[in-house]
Amino acid sequence: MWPIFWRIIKDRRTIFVVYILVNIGLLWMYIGLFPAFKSQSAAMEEMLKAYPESFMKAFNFDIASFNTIEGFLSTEQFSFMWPLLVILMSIGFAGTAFAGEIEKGTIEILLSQPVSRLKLFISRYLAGLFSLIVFVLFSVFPAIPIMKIYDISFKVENFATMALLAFLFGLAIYSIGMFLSAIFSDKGKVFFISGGLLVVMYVLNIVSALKESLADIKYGSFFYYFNPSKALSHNQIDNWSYLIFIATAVILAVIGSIYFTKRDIAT
Amino acid sequence: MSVIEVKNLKKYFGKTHAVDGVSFSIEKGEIFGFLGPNGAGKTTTIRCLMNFLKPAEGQISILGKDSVKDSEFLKSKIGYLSGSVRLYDSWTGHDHISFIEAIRGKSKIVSDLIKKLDFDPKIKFKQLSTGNRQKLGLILALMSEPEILIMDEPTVGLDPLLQGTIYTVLENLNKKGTTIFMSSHNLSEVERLCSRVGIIKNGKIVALENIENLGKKRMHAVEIHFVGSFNKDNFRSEHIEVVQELPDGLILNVRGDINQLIDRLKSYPLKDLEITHASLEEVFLEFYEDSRSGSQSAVVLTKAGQGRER
Repeated sequence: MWPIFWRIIKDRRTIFVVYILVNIGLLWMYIGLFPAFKSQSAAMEEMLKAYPESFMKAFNFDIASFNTIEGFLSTEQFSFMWPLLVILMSIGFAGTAFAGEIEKGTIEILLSQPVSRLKLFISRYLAGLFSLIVFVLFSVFPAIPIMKIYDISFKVENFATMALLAFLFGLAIYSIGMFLSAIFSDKGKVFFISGGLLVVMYVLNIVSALKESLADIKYGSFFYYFNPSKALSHNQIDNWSYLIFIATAVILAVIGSIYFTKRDIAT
Repeated sequence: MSVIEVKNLKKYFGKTHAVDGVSFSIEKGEIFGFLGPNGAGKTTTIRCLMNFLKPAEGQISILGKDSVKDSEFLKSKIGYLSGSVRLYDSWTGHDHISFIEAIRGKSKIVSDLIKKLDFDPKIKFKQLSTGNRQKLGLILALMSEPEILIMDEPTVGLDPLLQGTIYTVLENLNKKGTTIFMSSHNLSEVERLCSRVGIIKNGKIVALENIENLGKKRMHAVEIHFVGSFNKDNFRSEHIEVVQELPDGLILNVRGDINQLIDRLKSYPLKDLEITHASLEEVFLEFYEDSRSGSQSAVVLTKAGQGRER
């Protein structure tokens, strides 16, 4: 099991490092820009007041977000770029884990080894989980030394809460990807379905904020439960966020592993 | 003791009966050839043996254990070579070998195999030629010295020189006790290596015999020269086909028991009679005559045992 785990980590290390460096680069850019934004915060707040409240809610704008680094990063980095990066990384990893291997035919060399399908699933799942944890750590905590460079005050515990929420969000998305990868034999389907599902969820969250009569559809969106502003600015994660993300991850991982052990695999 | 025992194996894909009640057994130390054209069910059977596909019905027992329930244990005893070796593009041969060693343990024979097959393990898989990819697949299948080798067309696309090297490697392994199950299109390869063959057609086994007996039992080419007049219609039957009329005789293909023809010949004085066993290729093609379209040629036997078209 472990040779499969370490081999996949080794194979993906380059792309993984690129993701981390891109993320650190963005983090550095936003932190570097923060002092300038903060000095203009009064003007920015005036400008944002002109926007409809529902619009601000839909796109997770906090009117006070330019006053603190936590608010600024939660709006600029963790509401847009970070989810995009974690979605690309998780779905990319999951899509190639099984569906991509079946599509290329390389799964046969794995299936012909004395490793059960369950162990194969677990080793690949854990490899992705390990990558996700490292990505989350390297995409949240590097903010601390960068903020010190710019002499910006911050609350460490809020960043830890943000890292936890980010991990839970990434875990749920990764588990959707792994579930789809376990049942399909074509990675394109995994990318298309999981990508489509997340786009639908994103739209649901926006529409629910813009139209009061459709407010309840927000409960069907991960983006409602993923609230970086609450985590980073207020050091809070809703209980529903824990429940939804963990339940999604556990249920899909279990169903995916059972399906993978029982399915036909023909390359 | 049967090393592989397949009982009434069925595998369906929707309405397609890819494998439809296949049964056979393979004894320890045998080299068993599994013949059939594309789509006959060879690869599906092999994938069921390897537990890549789950049988719809039937049982597969390998080394006395169930191929599904004891799959993990059995894989430690089986070396597998796919019909088209597809490995990781960015890995070198060394990377693949190290990976298999990390799972199965250090190989004692891998260096020897690399040398025998004249393979360069430093090259990435994507840069390897078809022949070298096949060599790497074979090294990975053999390096753990498995008790059983399951191979889907092991020499497809290889030059005769490399084919010969692989035959020698397989023969040496077999001498050490390895049981080999191989599918093939290459009949001369099967004739050289295999002790027994199974022929599969439309998902069913149509012949399962010792390779020497297969031709003898199944088909004969008969050339008859009569002393006087003869009626060719006397020789036509379900099992006898008149291939060619000669000025003083006939050339016939006889399927099954030859005694039926001998009985009919008793009433004719003969100038000459020559009976030849069919080659494996002729037997194989005879089994598949039905699946060939009417416009395509069917192969008939000649007395020299060579297939020729009509």
